[in-house]
Amino acid sequence: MRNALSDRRAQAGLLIALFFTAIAIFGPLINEHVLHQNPLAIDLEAFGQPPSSAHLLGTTSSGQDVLAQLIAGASQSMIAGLVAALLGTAIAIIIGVTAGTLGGRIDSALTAVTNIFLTLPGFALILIVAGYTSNAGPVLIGTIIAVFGWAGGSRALRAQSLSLRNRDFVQASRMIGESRIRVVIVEVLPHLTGWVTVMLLMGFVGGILSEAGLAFLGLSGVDTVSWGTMISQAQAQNALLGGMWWWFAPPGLCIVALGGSVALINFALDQSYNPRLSGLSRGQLNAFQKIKKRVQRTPKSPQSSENVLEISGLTVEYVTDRGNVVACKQVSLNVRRGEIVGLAGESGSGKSTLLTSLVRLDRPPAVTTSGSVLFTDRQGKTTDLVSQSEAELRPLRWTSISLVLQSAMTALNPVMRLGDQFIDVLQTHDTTLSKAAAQKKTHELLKNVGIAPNRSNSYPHEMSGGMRQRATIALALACDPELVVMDEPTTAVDVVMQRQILANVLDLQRKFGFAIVFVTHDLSLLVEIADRIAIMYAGKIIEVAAAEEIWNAPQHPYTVGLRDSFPPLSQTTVSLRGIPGAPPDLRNPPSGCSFHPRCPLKFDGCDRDEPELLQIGETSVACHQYEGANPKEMVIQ
Amino acid sequence: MVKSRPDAAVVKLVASHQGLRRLGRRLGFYLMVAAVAITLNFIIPRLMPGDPGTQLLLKIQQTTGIAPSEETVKNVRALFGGDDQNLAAQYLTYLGQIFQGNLGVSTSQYPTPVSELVFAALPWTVLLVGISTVLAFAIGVTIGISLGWKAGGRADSFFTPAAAILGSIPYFWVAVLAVWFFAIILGWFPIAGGYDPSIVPGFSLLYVLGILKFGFLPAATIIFSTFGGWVIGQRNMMVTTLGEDYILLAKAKGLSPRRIMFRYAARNAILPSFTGLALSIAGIVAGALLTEVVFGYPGMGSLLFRAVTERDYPVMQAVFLLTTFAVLIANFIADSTYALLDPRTREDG
Ligand code: SF4
Repeated sequence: MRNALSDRRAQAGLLIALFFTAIAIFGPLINEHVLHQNPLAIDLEAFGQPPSSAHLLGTTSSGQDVLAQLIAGASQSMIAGLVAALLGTAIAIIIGVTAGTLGGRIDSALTAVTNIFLTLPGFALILIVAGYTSNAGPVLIGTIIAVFGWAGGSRALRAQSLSLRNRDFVQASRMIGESRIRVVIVEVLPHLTGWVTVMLLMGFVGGILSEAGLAFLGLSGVDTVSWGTMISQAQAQNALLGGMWWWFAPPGLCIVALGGSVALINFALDQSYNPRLSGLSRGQLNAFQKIKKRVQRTPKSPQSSENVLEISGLTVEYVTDRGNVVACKQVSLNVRRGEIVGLAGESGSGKSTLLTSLVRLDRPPAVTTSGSVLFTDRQGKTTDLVSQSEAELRPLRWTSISLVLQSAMTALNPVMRLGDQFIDVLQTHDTTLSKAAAQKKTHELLKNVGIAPNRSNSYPHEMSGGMRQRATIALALACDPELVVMDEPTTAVDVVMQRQILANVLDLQRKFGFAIVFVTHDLSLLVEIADRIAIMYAGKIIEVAAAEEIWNAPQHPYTVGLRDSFPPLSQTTVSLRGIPGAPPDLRNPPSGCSFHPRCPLKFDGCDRDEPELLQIGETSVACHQYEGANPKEMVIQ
Repeated sequence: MVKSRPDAAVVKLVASHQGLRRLGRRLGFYLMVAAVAITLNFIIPRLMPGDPGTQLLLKIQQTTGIAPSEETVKNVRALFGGDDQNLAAQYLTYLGQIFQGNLGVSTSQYPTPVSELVFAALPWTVLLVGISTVLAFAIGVTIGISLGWKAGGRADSFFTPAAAILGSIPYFWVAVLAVWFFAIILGWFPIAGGYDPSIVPGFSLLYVLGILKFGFLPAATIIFSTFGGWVIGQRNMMVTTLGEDYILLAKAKGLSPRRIMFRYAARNAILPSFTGLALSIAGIVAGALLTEVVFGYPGMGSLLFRAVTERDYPVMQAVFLLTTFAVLIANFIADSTYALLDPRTREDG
């Protein structure tokens, strides 16, 4: 709400709306005491006059003062708009919330009624009803509009309260036996404020537009003045041919100004309720441009390396208008050719941010601000992916590094056949490849993961979850990549399927020799498949070691805690100990070692100095305990 | 735990079967709405103050100077109530008449049957609304796609709020301005009407060109007044879609930005717009009716306007009924297009 009101467009809208409200309230007084005009008074001496000092906006063809009419018309529009908005929203709330909260048969019945009203051409209905009740005032018009116009809002509210119904807090109050009405008023309605506001605003705009339309058709009272009637009279009395723009233009402008101002407020509100919709702000975009220019302007002249990937000093920040948040800080990690490296951490540890950064697909507002990602291909050519432009990266994508995402359901394009999603990437990277050859290659790839070739004609929704996930793995291997980044690729499937898929992946890895970076929160799973494991906490890598070392002899107190919170897959004996406390808020990270608020071993200085990642034997660890010490003597139990 | 997997052909068969079932359900729904409309058409005049039926008969007597025939009386009573039969019997008589296509006689143009007037006007409106809706949709959706692709950019931060304001400009006022500026001041288009009365109607080139010339401004007005809505909806859907995983994956695949924008993002983001199209056709028709009045276009809007000013109840009712049917058919077309475009036959309630 406050966000929206700080929006300049919303402020302008509010100002205009308030202006018209004042006019609507004080209109008669202004006309009588300031302008000394009666909007209906006919003055045949002064008909059809252009604006002058006597008639600031000129006169109609029967000599009525246009400005006085405009002022008098404001209340007509306002009243119709308000009645339509308030009444329509009230009906929408009653029907929508009842349907959504009660569910069952009541819901089906109410939803059917709503859908019928939504489909019926309301305006035609309004017209004939108004046609019978010839002298319709603004209140009646507003009422008719509300009665025929509530359905859209009701539908939205139903959907909202339906989703609220299943949320914990509503369930909880139900359980402790609160009455339904109380639950609705206390628990449900406050969550719908945003929707209700939007509905009121849109109802208001709909109200004034419909009133104007009805008045234009001559359906409002004969001697009421309304903006709509002004336009229709102007048209009927040849104001157009006579070029009397001062007569027909201002009332339309007033409708647009009032309706538009409310629409603007609504627009700003909408964007503040769905921040994702507003896209990036100007400040963010500028910051992005600058950062991108900077990192792309400083290309490393990389040295050829044994490692397929060398990440060093990689820092990713979330650029916001209120300052930047560091999500990955100075991350360094190597991946050897054909190696499986695990990356573990809780959600919010920055592992996903790191993953999108190393495949160079930062999700805004995340942006990589410094560091390098050196990729060395089979021919020994090394490229710093961070300093490449988007166009330079494109040919490298999928042929060097490919990606398997967590949920195959959302990773595949739902409206494209599976095969086409293979063929497009194959043909992008090998422009000489014929469609038939691409098809053949697709079939082979699918066969690798045990999917029948004819499945390439299926759409993703026609496949089971496990098959979809195997398909995305086959897709990742399409261009023979040297590194496959996998983001929790088996969390969305059941355990049996998980085992099958992992075995399949390991087979393929042995066969084709690509390296894997496997990201997950599940340390026990990593221990089984990874050669080395890196542990992330609060945007930093805090320990890197061989998989069995991480499991058997973790060095960092956080790794110890993480290990103890998972039973190994092969064992049934469990002594689960979670880590007390919660991961830190990156907007406001702890001083010194970011783990110190939760660390059982913290000592003097831990909250002051940030520990560096130190190489100790085969293990790297960032913890003050190990500074100048021999780690093997200090294994924590 | 091993599930037998149906092979692709079976799955496809089931899927297309579901698609048909879904369309069948929609069709059933539209028939229900049509029934409701027919019933409302029966109820409304009976709920209205005064006795429209008697008023009508009086009016007919006034215009013709003789008492209306027994058959006319029966017809008016069936449509507007006010006779001694009980409601159920009236309703049955009414339904019988409707299904015979008998919508009564116009009182303002007595004794022209209403159906004759309505069916003469209907094609004009269908053509006008159909063409301008398709064009407005295409234009709006295209602009929305490009604004959403670069959300937050300069164009987006100007045109998107502008499109929001556009939605609050009354159709008829746009029409008035268009007549004034393009027809009167510039003289590029005829001021009113739907065709050139000096040319013999038929499928001659001249006649068709005339229709285009007369229809241009009304269509442009409707397009101008409606396309903003599509811009916003499509732009928002585009932004939402761009956050999807399959877009991230498409980028990771190194596909060209054009392909990602159209085949991956827009192709998915456009689907909800078709649902929106079905929902807003009624509103567009309403606006078109007003637009017709300004342009004196010989469609349902002008017919309705005359009927309302002259209190020609039978015509009013018939316009309502036929507009409803037309809207329902348009809805069904939009729905079917959606079903064609979306391979998932998911039912979203
Ligand atoms: S540096 Fe201190 S607080 Fe941080 S993990 Fe080591 S002992 Fe714990």
